[in-house]
This record gives sequence, C-alpha cells and structure tokens, in this order.
Amino acid sequence: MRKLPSDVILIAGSGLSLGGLGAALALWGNPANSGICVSCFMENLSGSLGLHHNLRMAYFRPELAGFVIGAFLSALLGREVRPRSGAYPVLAFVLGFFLIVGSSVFMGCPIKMMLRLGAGDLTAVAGFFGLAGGVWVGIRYYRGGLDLGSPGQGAGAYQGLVVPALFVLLLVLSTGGILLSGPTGPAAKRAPLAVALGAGIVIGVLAQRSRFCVTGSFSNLFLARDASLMRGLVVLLAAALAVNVSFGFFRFGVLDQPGSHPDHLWNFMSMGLVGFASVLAGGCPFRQVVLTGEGSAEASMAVFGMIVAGGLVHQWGIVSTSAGPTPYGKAAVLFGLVFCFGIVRFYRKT
Amino acid sequence: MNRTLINRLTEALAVLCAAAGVLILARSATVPVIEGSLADMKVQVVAGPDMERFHTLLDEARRITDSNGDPDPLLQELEGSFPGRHEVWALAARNAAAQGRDGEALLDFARAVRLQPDYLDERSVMFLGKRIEALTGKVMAELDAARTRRDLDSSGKELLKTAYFLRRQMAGGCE
Repeated sequence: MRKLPSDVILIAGSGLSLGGLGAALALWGNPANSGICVSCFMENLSGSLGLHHNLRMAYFRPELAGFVIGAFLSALLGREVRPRSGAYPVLAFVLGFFLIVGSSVFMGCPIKMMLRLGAGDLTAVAGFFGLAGGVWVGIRYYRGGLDLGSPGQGAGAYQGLVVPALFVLLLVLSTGGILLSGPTGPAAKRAPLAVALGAGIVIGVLAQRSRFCVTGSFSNLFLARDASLMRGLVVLLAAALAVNVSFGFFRFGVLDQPGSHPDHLWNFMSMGLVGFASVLAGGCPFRQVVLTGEGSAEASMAVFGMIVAGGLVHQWGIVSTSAGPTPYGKAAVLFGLVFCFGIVRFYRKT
Repeated sequence: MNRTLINRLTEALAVLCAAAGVLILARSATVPVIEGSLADMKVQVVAGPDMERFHTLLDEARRITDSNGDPDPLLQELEGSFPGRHEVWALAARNAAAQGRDGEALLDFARAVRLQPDYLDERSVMFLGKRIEALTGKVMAELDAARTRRDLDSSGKELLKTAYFLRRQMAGGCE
C-alpha cells in the first residue's frame, strides 16, 4: 500500500483536531458552536483584562495559551523558532484589529465559521463565500505586484518571543484568579481547564507543523492551484459534522442557530473583510496566534491588535448579537475595507 | 488590466465603502431607538437627576403593576425617556403578558433580552428563561398556524422574526 506523505497526514491531523476537538469542546462546556473561536476568545481575553465592560464575555480561555504553547513547543522541537522582527508592524496591528471587527460582526472567526457549518448552521454559508471572496480579492492584488516587505532577523528580532511569554503569564494569572471572569453568559460556559489547555496544545502543535490556516487554504488554491490545505478544511468540516451528529448537536437550519444572525449580506461582507485582511496580514486569526509561537513579531503585533479590538468591539457597539449586526458594526466593516483597499493602493509596486 | 485603471478602481471602491459607512452612522444617529430594529438598540446609561426620575417612575410603575392597576401611562413615559433600559421593557412585558397581550409581551421581552441577555441565563438572578420560552412557544404556534392559513400579515412576520431572535438567544453561543 502506498504511504501517505507526511504533510498530508499533518494537514489532515490539523483539520481533524480543529473540527473534532472544536466541536467536542462545546460538549465539554464551551458555548454552543464556539468550541474554538479565536475572535470570541480574544473578546473574552480583552474582557478578562478589563478592556471592555461586558462581564458576560470576560474569561481568559486556556485554549488560547494552549495554541501558543503548542506551536512554540512544536517549533522548538522542529528547530523552527525563528524570532523575526516585522516589516510592517503598524499595518499588522491595524489588520489584526480589523480581523476581529469582521469576525465580531459575523459572530465568529473562520474556524468557528467552519464549526458552525459542521453543526448545520446555514447562516455561515454566506460567510464562507464572503471569506473566499475576500481572499480572492487579496490574492488578485498580490498577483498584481503588492509587496509589504519582508521581516528581518536582526538584533531586535527577539521581540517576537514577547507574546508567547505573555500568554504563559496570562495563563498563570488566570489560574491564580487575578484576571476578571464573568459569572454568567458565554464567559461562564467553559471546558475544564486541563481539557481546554490540553486541546489547545494538541491543536497548536499540529497547526504549527502543518501550517494550517483557513484563509491560507483558499489563498493556496487561488494563487498556486494547490488544494493540499483545502483537504484540512474538508477534514475539519467532516470531523465537526461527525461529532455534532453523534452527540445530537446537529441542527440544520437558518433561523434558530446559536451564536448567529441571519443577515446574509453582512455575514458575507464581514467575512469578506476577514478574508481580505487575512491575506494582507499573512494568515487568519488562528494562524496569527500560531505564528506568535514561532516568534513572529508581525503576528505578535496582529495579536495585540486583536486584543485591543476585542475590547473596542464591545465598548463601541460593533459586535453583532443574535438580533443582527449593529449600525456601528456595519460601518466598521466598511471602514476596514477602506483600510485594506488603502494598503493595496499604496503598496503596489510601480 | 491596466495598472492605472486598477488604481482608480481601488480608489473608487475605498471611497464607496467610506461613504456607505458614514451614511450608515448618520442614519443610526437620527433614528430614535424606539423606532429602530432590535439590533439597533443600545444600552442607555442613566446618571444624575435622570437616574432619580428613572427610579421614581420605575418604582411607581412596579407598584401599580403589583396592585393590578393600569401602569400603561407610566410605562409609555418610561419607554419614551429610557428606551435603553432593560428594566423598562421587562416590566412592560410582564404587564402585557398579565393582560393577555402575548405578541406585545414577546416584543418587550425581546427588547429586555437584547439589552440584558442575563434574563435568559439560568445562572443569573434575573433569569426569566422558562417564562420567555413558554411565551415564545405559544406565540410561535399561533404564528405558524396563521402562516399555514396564509394569513400572516407584516406585523406577524416581524413578530416571528422577534421570536426567532429569542430562540437563537436561548440556544446559547457566543455573543
């Protein structure tokens, strides 16, 4: 029998862990359809640091620390810890900000979008096409000569290790009860600490080894006609579907899905922003978190932008609710697109 | 495609998005909360003399409701002045439900939940989930029956949307 190449196994393993554990974490206590959602987790983290006043969304999710620790350990073992400074730190910060803006208007990051699809939530379909469309637009500009520069490995490169250290510190502070933790709402719905951290580490290791990224899957397909990462996406969807069906969490429909709203236009637009911004930032919100484990200062700045956005989307009323997107959310998505179009306009090689 | 043309197209898209964003914000600033959709509702911070007035009116409306009186005039005043306070809508819903106005009660409960989702969280002391769930089921059954008879008017359709909002909230998930 022909042996499967190791990269195919790793990509499938990433998809399996994200889909299977993502759906299972909701069974073990995380909010419905939100077993893994980097944008929700960032909003939770911001709340736990007191950056917004919605206590219902204030809790440091151990999964986040797990992603970074897992990616760091994996990179360390594979001699892939490459602390590197950023070529476009301020842009990365703002792009990270808009990754969360788009995700909060959609009510989930690209991983959660896939988990929602795997749970039968048809409101995520518009988001799926929006994400693919946003990536397609970004890739068209890259093909046309977009160049944001390359990161360096000079003396200041070790700043790329600040975020992994920060997440370990936050985990310690969280277990010590120092960070804020909401008693009701999504913040109170949580998988046990050891389970959440363990799942995060497993996913972090596999994602670092495989370079798995939801928007990267689309990028590779559009840019190089390479469908290898798409296999991971298919496995993710299948694993989530299998877990949800097995445990009776699958509910097919549009109107009564948890953590969603049926405004298809803004589901499309918001995920379009996430897709576009992800291409410019070099990866989806989950990939940015994993990249910090390898010492990328660029990804670290994007993660800082995501943490700040996690607070401001609540303080400024940008975040959507089950009632639908707010006017501030719609405007923020449009301003995010203005920012992305601004980048591609000014960074095109002449 | 011509490079200059792509640049102009990119600039046009950026300007279009910016203009649309400004228009959306301008519109939201001019529509009173009470006339906007559930999604447009904002939590209202009440402070100073307004705080005193708010609590005086609310306490009086609660007292009248508890003694089976007619709090509607007071509730209307509260809804007009403090549409971003969940307490107002929760009391209005309780009053409407007591008088058998189920559709109105559902709308008011939805406004209360939109402003304070803890009404549907059993960990909260504010939990009214069982009551809201029962009312939602009852109203939806009536609306479904009307839909089957092809007798669902626009207000019925709006009420059905509101009922589904409550169902999504009850289903949980992140927010």
